[in-house]
Amino acid sequence: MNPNIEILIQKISETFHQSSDLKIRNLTIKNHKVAYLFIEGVSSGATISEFIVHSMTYDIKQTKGNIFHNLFDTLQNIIPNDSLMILEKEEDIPYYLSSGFTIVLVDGYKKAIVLESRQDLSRGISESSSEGIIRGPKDSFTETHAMNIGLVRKRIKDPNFVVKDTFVGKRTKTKVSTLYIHDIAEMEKVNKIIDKLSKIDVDGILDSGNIREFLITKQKSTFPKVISTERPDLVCQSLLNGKIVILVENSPYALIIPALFIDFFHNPEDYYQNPANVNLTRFLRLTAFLMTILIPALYISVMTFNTSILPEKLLISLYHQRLAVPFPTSFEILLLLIIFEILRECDIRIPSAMGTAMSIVGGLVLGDAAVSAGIVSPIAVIIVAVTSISGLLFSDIDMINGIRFWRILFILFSTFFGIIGFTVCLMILVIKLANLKIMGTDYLSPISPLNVIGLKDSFIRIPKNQDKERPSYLTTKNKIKLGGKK
Amino acid sequence: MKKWFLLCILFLLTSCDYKELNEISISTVLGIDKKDNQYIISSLIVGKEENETILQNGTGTSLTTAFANLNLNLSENLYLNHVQTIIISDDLAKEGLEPILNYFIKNDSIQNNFYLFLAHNVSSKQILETLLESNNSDYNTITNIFKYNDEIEFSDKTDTLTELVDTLLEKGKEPTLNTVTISKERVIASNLAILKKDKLKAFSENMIGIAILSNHANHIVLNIACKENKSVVELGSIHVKTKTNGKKIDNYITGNISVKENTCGKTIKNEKQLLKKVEWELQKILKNSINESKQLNSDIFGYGALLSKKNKNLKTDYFTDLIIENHMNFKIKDKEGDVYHE
Repeated sequence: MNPNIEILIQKISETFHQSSDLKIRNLTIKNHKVAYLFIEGVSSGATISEFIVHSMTYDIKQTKGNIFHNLFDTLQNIIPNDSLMILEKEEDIPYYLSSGFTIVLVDGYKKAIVLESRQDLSRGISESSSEGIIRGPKDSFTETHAMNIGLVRKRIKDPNFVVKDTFVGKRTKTKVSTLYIHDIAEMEKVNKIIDKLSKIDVDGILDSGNIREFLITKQKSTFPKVISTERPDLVCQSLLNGKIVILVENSPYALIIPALFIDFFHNPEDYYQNPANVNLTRFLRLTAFLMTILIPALYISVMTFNTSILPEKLLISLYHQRLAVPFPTSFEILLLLIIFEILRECDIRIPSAMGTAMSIVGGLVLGDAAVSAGIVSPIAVIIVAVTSISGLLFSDIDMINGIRFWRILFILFSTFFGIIGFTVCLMILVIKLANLKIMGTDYLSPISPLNVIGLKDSFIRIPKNQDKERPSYLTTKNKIKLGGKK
Repeated sequence: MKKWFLLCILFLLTSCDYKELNEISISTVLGIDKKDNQYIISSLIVGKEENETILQNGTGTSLTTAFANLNLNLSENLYLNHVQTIIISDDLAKEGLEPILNYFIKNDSIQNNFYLFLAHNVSSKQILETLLESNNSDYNTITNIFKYNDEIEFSDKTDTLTELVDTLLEKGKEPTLNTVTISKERVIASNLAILKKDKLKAFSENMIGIAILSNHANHIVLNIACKENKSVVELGSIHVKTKTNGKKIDNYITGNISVKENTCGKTIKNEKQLLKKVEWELQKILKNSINESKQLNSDIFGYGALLSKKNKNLKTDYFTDLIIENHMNFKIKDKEGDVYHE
């Protein structure tokens, strides 16, 4: 670091291209040139004025005699700050400035004092908006990294719970933390993830969604291989099961690795309710999954290829409904599905004040008017409604998108090949799913390959006081979770 | 490469079958007659309006041409897959059912599980017309007529095409068929048709006897006559076990009796007498059925199949001289009731 304060300030100023939010103040203390630098917006002006400037101008005059060797030491010791650091490298200065720290430079010294003066830019902990819950903790992650880690740490007070930081992004220098429990998670997997994170060479990471593509690269899949959640309790459940969690600075969504197919049929709330009732809910989720993927395709194949499998009364009823419709069945279904998807997309983006108007128009267009106008048949509206409602049972947006992809694929197979195409597509789906692996874990575990311990918390859930072991596909270390040492 | 191969196979397997539901005319009931060497096919077809049914006819020298002509009268393709009932006229049945059965068995556009009925003394076209006029054009009206038959509950007596063909192919058993006729502008069940091979021989009134001996009657209602009045008795859980030593047939008939109405008063004095009366009445009914089928030389009970297991050198006309004995073992169910007098 250059000991000449003027040259150093000049250099820093040039690094920031004379950006106007970089504030530099020069002082003279005991005949020494002193300067402090901070960036407006990310730094708290009040903290700087009240503590840093006050100490440098007032408290320093109160220090009598020569307790400390020099001015640098004096400043370092009298400024009250919880995370005071000494910097010796010039190139570290921009990072700390951007993070909201204040840099104090003293002429003639090859080091700088870094003082914590970050502005609190968080929005406070609020209830999760995308993963609703009836019974259970309501808090959710925010954009503040330290707060997010705090939300997990306050739930797991074990010293074996470890947070490892990596900085990703050439320009954004985003802090990405890997969270795991040291004596449960397999270190091989943890190291693999940290290694992958450190190898990411990209200019910016703005959300955990950006990280995901760098982590899982081997096999492409439409179904998510990583769970993203804003619920700290789900994160803790996963950590306790031996999974690894990634928290990204400025992102309220944590990533849980590995995500298995079965995980999308689970909800953190499941573990706070009576297991017998949860089994029914999980069965409903499975039924909804099958319905939302298969029903439109099955309808098309039955209506156009395999009419003979319909019971007579149903056939005659469907026949009358279809008579006035000018379009082929598959076009009718696709049209309605596309309109519904547009409505859904609108519903997310549009300001909530306009939501009511949209739902009236959407409901009328989709429901009544289209049928009265003879564009679509009533049964097609029912099919699309059932399909869409079943699809909304899943909260993970990647899962919803995966389902949508396969739904369309099934429709195409059924349109061209009827029930045989439908069956072939079903086989392709099962083969694809069974073929997927995430960090060595089979995506369809514990169903394929069969894992009896894993089955205890799959489509059924046995009571917690009987669920003794962690399944081996998640961790081979420290398998006992009920009784035993830990 | 594998993907293209899969797609090609899928195309070859399926793509020709595509048809939209609004491009078909759904036929529910078919009637087949023959007049002047011409087949007349009548069909009840689901109409364009709700609850509307239309009747269409087609004639031709063969069934194929008759169906083709029927199709010409329709705006959409005739769809036979959901035909539930086919009614064949008795004249045609006397000539032999084989050509018709052959046609339907080999035709893959029609499912083989439809019910077959014969029209008794009327043409099948008339039956369809009556169905249409009486607003009973529902496809399962006719099967319901038999289901709710007052006298006998046929468990599976109504024959589907495959059942009939199975019976025809079985050695030592002749088929029977249910018949329908028109009375007071309504379609009603009529006498049972007895066939020899595929040809109609006669219509039998002894339906109850045939049903019991063929093990199709679940329960029957019997009238027991006394001096002036009669008592109504219900026989339930009737089961027949047939045994043979290769020369004669023994039918062991079991079941229970419950007395529904007793207007005989003290004429039926006790349990024993009641049993005796019921057995005597039943013997009479069964004998009539057996004698009738013996006269027609049509083994509708399938005794030939049973005999041939014991007796390899069974004569072709074994049935006319066959000794058939019926042994009854009935129990009275309502012992507590005050229906007979000790």
